[in-house]
Amino acid sequence: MQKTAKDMMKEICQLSLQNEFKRIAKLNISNIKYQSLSTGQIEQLARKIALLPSEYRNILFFHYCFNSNPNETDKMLETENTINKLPYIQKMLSSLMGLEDLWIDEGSMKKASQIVLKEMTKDYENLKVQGRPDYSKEFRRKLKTITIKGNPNSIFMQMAKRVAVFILVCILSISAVLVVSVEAREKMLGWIIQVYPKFSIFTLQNTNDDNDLVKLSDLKINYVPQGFELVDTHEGRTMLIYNYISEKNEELTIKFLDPSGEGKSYYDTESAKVKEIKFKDAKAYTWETDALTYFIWYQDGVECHISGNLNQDKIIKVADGISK
Amino acid sequence: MLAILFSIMPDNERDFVNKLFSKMNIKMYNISFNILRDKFDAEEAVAQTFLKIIDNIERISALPCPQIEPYCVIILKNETMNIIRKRKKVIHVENVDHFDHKDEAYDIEEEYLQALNKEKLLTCINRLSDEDKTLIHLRFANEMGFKHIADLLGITEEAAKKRGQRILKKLRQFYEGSDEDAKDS
Repeated sequence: MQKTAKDMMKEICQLSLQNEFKRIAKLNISNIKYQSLSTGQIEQLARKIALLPSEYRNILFFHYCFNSNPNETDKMLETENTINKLPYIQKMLSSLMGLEDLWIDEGSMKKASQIVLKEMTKDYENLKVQGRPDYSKEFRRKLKTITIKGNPNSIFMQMAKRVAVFILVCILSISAVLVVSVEAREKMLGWIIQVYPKFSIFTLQNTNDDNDLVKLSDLKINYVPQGFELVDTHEGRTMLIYNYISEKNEELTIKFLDPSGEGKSYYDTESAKVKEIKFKDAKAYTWETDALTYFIWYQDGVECHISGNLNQDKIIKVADGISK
Repeated sequence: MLAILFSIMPDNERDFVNKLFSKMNIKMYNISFNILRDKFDAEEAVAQTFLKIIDNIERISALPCPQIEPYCVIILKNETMNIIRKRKKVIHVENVDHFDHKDEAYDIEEEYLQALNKEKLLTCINRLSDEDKTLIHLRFANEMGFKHIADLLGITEEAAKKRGQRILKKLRQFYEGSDEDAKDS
């Protein structure tokens, strides 16, 4: 009997919750005022995020830590309506933090989500192995004979993608030959850009084995716009990332990547026009989305990426100030 | 160039999956087993996770290195929760989110709830304050226990239970049309 009553409440509350998702999603974003949180408040927010239902928490991780768009999140987590759930979660956390009509700003949400993810990773790293799996024959066979399927999945789309890559490689190779007289070192350099409806993949190809390549940390950032402060630096084997935040909570991220890392860079280019320009004697690419401006180029043996809440001129000025 | 792209890319991705599987599968199995307490289900969760990783290999291989394992662990936990939902397994550890098996302080309201008209009750819920709605959504739609709700709201468990009871009482009054009483409560 009790179960019946609880089940009914669950059903009705789920309906009510769906209504709330819709209501919050319909709010006029331009009327929302955001509040940046102090370090202590961000830690408090992180504790609250850690206590959220797993679905909500995962949505935050995918959005703020992995930069996934709502469609990707729905696909990976088999959730529905992430696009509407995300503002609801943000609003709920803002209320739980006692902000009343103000909403927690994106920067604070991102930092708090990253703290929780980091803690969760520690749990995983410290996990004691108590048992070993004995996977079914079916799964083992599947793993062995697996045919890696890219995205998009259909054979036609895969072929189309490869043809597009081939054409781009040809174009870029011809362009590289034309540049030879200007800068011999850039002769074989080229970017492969795979364009999809919602994002693009940028891959730097054929970087020469220059003897005078610099270490990532040798590149110096000589200019950032006034008001921006370095808040975080991540150093990996093949990458070095500087995160700046302004007083107005604007973000500026500068990444230096070692091209030998053979990494592909996925960027949001939905509805954006990727513009090719010449910068420091090589091809460079810039585009703007609703939220950020992006600029990627190659200099001194390093793949450089900048993104931030700045216009293209300012981003390029930052890039211009980077040198050995 | 085309031939190189055709031949090299899938091999790289296959290597990537194999390396990831070798590195992570045992820990993943243990995470899932700690939650499900069932060998077969834990193996199933890991298998489903890797099938999903394989299907989305381009996206995952492009993540910065330190993010790849957390990303995969989240997918694993999500798959584990999906198995719980599908098979209605009993959860044996406390840190699995907010599944509460104790019968709590709703006994007084239980019989009453069974007789309610759903649409009318939905209208009554919509009349609650945002704070009250949040609590009952967490409690019933998200199936969180009062201890978790209390931690999230920054109140004691006892206070969360009392608030829950007050909200149900308020709903009852809304439902029966005693609006004035509901406002006073």
